[in-house]
Amino acid sequence: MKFNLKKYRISYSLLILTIVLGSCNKDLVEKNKGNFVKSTYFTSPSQARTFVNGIYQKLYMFQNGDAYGESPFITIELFAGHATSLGQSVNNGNVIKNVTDAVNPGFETVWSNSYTAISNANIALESIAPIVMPDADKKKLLGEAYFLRAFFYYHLVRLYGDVPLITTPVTISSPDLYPSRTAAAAVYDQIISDLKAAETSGLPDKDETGHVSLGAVRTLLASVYLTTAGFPLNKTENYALAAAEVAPVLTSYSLFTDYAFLHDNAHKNQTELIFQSNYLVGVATNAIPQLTIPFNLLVGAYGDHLGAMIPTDAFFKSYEAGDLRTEERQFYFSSYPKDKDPGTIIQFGEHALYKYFHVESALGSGISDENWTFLRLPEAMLIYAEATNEVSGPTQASYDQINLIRTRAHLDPLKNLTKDQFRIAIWKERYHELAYENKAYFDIQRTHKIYDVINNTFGDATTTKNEQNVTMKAQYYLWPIPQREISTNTKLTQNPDWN
Amino acid sequence: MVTGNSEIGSYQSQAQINTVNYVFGGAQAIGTQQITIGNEDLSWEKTSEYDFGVSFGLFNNRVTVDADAYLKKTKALLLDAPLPESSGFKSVYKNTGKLENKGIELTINTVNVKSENFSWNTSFNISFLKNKVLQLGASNDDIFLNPTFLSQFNLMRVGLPAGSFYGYKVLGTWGTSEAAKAATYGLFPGDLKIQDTNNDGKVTSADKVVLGKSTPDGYGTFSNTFRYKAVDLAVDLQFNYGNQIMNLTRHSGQDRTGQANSYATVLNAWTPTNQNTSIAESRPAYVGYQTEIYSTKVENGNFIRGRAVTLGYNFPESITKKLKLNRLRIYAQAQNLFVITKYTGYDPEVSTYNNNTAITQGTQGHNNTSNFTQGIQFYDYPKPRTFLFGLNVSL
Repeated sequence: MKFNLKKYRISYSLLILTIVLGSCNKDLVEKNKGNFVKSTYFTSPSQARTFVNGIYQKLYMFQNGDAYGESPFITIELFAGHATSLGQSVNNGNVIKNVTDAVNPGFETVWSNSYTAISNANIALESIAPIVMPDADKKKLLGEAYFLRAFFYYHLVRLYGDVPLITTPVTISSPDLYPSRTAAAAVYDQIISDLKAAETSGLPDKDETGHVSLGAVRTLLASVYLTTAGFPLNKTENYALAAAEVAPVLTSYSLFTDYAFLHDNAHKNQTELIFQSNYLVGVATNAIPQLTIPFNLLVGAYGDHLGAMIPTDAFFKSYEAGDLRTEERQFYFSSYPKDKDPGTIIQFGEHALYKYFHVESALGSGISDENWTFLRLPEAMLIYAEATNEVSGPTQASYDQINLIRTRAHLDPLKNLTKDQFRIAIWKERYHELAYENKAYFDIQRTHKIYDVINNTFGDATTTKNEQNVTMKAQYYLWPIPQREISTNTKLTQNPDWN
Repeated sequence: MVTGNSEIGSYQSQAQINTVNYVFGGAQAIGTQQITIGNEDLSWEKTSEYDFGVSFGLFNNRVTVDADAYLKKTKALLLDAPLPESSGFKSVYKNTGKLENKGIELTINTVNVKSENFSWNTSFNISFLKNKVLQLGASNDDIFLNPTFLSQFNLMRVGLPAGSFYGYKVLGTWGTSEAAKAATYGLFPGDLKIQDTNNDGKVTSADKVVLGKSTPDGYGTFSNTFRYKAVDLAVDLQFNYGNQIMNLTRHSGQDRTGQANSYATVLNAWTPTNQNTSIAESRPAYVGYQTEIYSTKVENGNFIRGRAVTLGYNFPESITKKLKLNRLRIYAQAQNLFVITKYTGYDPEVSTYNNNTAITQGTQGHNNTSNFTQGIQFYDYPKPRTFLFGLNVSL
């Protein structure tokens, strides 16, 4: 067959036009009436209050997470080595085994949310100042913002070491958009200065609604002083400051008479609870009980039973004989009636954290709104005792504080100890009373000691095997800068050995 | 011709403030947070386009051909560019980079047989396309787009197609004879052997490589219509080749992270007698499995789909007249009758995973799927096979 091009037609179009769209006007202004924008916000006292509330919302990040069990409150605890994590998370296992890396999403969650909170605190501090409102109210609001900024920087500087220190709002054109790391000592100076500003802002001694109180400011500042007196800054003169700072807290709060009050709905923000993040069904809920009950056992009306943070048996056994906290359903529990079949008792074969069990949701809807505790009185008491001991050895006032905790636990009071013995006794009490409350890892950082629970003694952190047969690498004194952050900001350097 | 992009969300230039909830005194308390950094320098994307088209007919238009070639260059490309999170923001919508799209679109229609009782028409069209990132920001640094899962894996890199997949290359598993070498990586025989690309004795994110691309080299349709007397048959095929699919379901389905049922592929897991495999040894979940963006999650996205097969019958005039109808036709149609593919998931035309709808409750917050991130599958739904029976009536 031959080609017959009888009907042959060719049409072409060749369009090379270079007309810039005439409708684009550089001065086009969009009026956004549906949403708030920063340039027109901050006009009223109520907007100032609302914006400060928004910073508190970032406190929820410690419970952020998913069905993997990688919530920051768990990640932080796994670094201390006294918890196992069954279930699904590869990252949790890698933390326990000291083989994780900078892409572990938990590292980014804490970094990202802390800086979002700090960014909003910076905006609040800058934008609330010019608002016309009663001076006392404004001062308190700014005090809350100062506290929260310090709170998040305190987490950042301990977890990541030198971190970018940003104290003014960041815009697309500001040099702080791509910051370098600031020396930890300077970050601590900022934290202390913020907390001192909060301290004189007229906040009430206590606040049972969950706002920042003077007691919270003092306890946090005392904790900062205690930390800076240890590694890596070793400003030992800060022990005296810690003791003086926390002393007034000891008389404005008191211990609960029942450990159950630490995790029920009726006692939120009360009595010994100094600072919590607040939850409420229908507004904000969490998975604290789901994450801390044993893996796949039907304990409580929960959809998940994740076993993501279970105390090691050796840690549980490190308590003194007769310690009330180790009795069933005090700090721990090892059995519970099966959900919807209370006649059947589930034996865990291990001890789970009753201090995080939320009876209301376990027997109810399975939706937890238990509060998460950041600061409570026993920590203040133990900061006082430890700091005082470092300055002047055991004093009666410090014995009184630690013995209040011991008496509640049905333990004999301590007496006649040397300075070194008293220090060890206080450290042990921190572990036992504040167990799994995100204190232990920070204690390892500042003391360079780990609690060797098998031998019931403290050993050098990087040469002493823990009960899970892991010897902490020196690398693990700090978290890595999250990989995403390193990739996005070439001015950042990675922490030692995390590359 | 220069055109813009109308797919830009509202108020992207402004520093927006959003409401959130907190709780004080056992009651809801409204809070606000600034959620976008704002970018007042935002401008339109500028796309210049060059087209060259030819269309002609041969053999009394029994064969018609349409061919079109284009070259599009987009400047001031609008991307959700990542920011250091120390700013308080994850990304900023900004003009960054240049992108090139070029391709050829070809359509051939033929009338193969045309007689009173029998006709056969064929329509074939194919689009070849190539896209390439020409520039990114001021320094041509890589940009990672959402969604993120396990790690950032949607790469924008100069010289590569937009939306390339990026991760670790799996070379297999460590064998018993390699126990000492595996130990230097902190691993054991039966663990996955990951390519140590830079040979520094460690597997870190620096060892990640480009694993594939989500845009196909070509795609199109091939349709044949037959008519024999009152019976008509249409067979409509669709094809696609040259792209890869990120099968994230293998994260839990093959990496056995302990939270979901597994693919049958895990039956080929490493054992001392089955060492030539890319599936790690089966162990109790608490021992832990490696899971990341691996080359073993990237699959060939080629397919041929029987998109629709339609068989119809037109009733003769003798009947339609009695019924006082102009035309009466019954037909049966099968849609998505078959798919020929090596892809192991439900369907190679995947609906792209978006963190918003998945299991995460916002840990990572990388929620918006970009226009450039396609071909990512994560527990999607299968595509239905549909059978239709129909009646066409014209009055």
